[in-house]
Amino acid sequence: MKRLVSSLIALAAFGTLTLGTAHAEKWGVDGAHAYALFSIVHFGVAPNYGRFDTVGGSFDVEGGELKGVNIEIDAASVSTGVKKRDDHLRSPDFFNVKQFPKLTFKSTKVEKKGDGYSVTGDLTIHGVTKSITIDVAKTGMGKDPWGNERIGFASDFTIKRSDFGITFMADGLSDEVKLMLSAEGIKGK
Amino acid sequence: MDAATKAQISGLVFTVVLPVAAAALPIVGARKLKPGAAARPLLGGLALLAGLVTAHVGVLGWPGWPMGDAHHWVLLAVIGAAAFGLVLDRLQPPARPVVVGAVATVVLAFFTWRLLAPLAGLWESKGVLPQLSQSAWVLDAGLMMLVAWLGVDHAARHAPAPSVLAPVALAFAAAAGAVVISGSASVGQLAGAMGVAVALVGVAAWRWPDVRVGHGAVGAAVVGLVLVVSYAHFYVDMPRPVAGLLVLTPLGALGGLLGARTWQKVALALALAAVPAATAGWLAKQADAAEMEEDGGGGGGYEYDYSNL
Repeated sequence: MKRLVSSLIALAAFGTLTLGTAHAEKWGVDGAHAYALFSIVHFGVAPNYGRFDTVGGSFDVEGGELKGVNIEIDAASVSTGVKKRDDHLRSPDFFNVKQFPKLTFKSTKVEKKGDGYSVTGDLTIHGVTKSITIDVAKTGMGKDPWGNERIGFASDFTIKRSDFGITFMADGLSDEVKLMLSAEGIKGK
Repeated sequence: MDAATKAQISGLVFTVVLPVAAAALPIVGARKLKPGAAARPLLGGLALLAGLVTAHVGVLGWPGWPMGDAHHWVLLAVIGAAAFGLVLDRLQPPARPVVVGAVATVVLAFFTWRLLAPLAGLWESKGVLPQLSQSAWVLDAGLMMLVAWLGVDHAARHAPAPSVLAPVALAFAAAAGAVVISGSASVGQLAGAMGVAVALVGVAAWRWPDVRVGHGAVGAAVVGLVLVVSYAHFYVDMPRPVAGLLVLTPLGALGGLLGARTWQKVALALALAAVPAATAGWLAKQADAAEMEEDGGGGGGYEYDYSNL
């Protein structure tokens, strides 16, 4: 009898856990309303800005709270407004997009921190994966005129490009690169 | 010191000073040995290998494991080819051409496969025709590499080292220019640094004829060249005809089989190599200009070059 009771308790506990994760739903990143910007200091003079045009992925959301992040950026979509420089950024001097076509971030732990979240995850750039922890803000949530439920998150953080094996022009371009990410997720997409 | 000056100095150190210093040390060692000492050809070959390896490590860094960037396979291929070269140097005809051909085929097939492995997914996603086209180019490239290696090996056995190394150095220099024009300063810098090392050993072998360079070591330099050029074609989009001409440029070494004096042999080899080298440079420039015109320049007339990132 005791064994039956303990089995039922274990089953119930397992069921609760399963239900717990099942509640987190995928909210697909809306590529038309997702931004991955970066800035890097040029010859110690001024920050220069660029962006990646193609950003995808998804958020895991449960009860309006962030539970997981999975962002995928097309490295070849890098854009700074100067075609020749964009080609150079795609080359092996920087992102080497032929060999490393994606930049990704996959969360491994999400914790509530004030109004936002502290998200730990694996950031992969240039084929090198590093675990980083970033602050993520929930920027809004609501329905659009077409009935889609949307949720927004944003995060600014700084990385060292040398940590990811991008060392070209170490004297001309700063090692620190500021990343500014913002994206809307659509429920069920 | 401002950042721009620091960038120029570090570029000079990694591209010129380090490869020259690394290649010069074994040459100095060879000069100290007694004439006829068995180690002399080894030290000449070691000078070439040290220069090539230092050029790669100085410009692109040490390879990690597992291998990150595919270009690190160039470094391993050069070291592998030099090791095979030690064996090849001890062989005589008729076995030599057969063994050289077999070893060259295996080395080039293995390292070309490793160099291009990261691109397999890219080709698969683009349909059957592009795959066939790429496969044909891999085969073309492999055959051209083989011809270049065998041709230079033949020249190295019958012509003095300076007349063999001069066209190889010229091929590296032309490759450096063409790669930079095609879009990668660091890979171009690598080709330039390797060319500097080859040129230094060539000059040393001319100045001191008793500093012998093993034929196998020359083969390692050719392997370095053809793999850098292949990498540039596949990863930097260097046009196919440019890459093909650059791979064949070292065959100018066959010019060293003519002429009576060393300077005549060097001049003939360089003259023969200059034709494909110059054509490759011109074609690279034309392709770049055509691309710029097609894209409309971009950036509202902003002039972009590698010194003005």
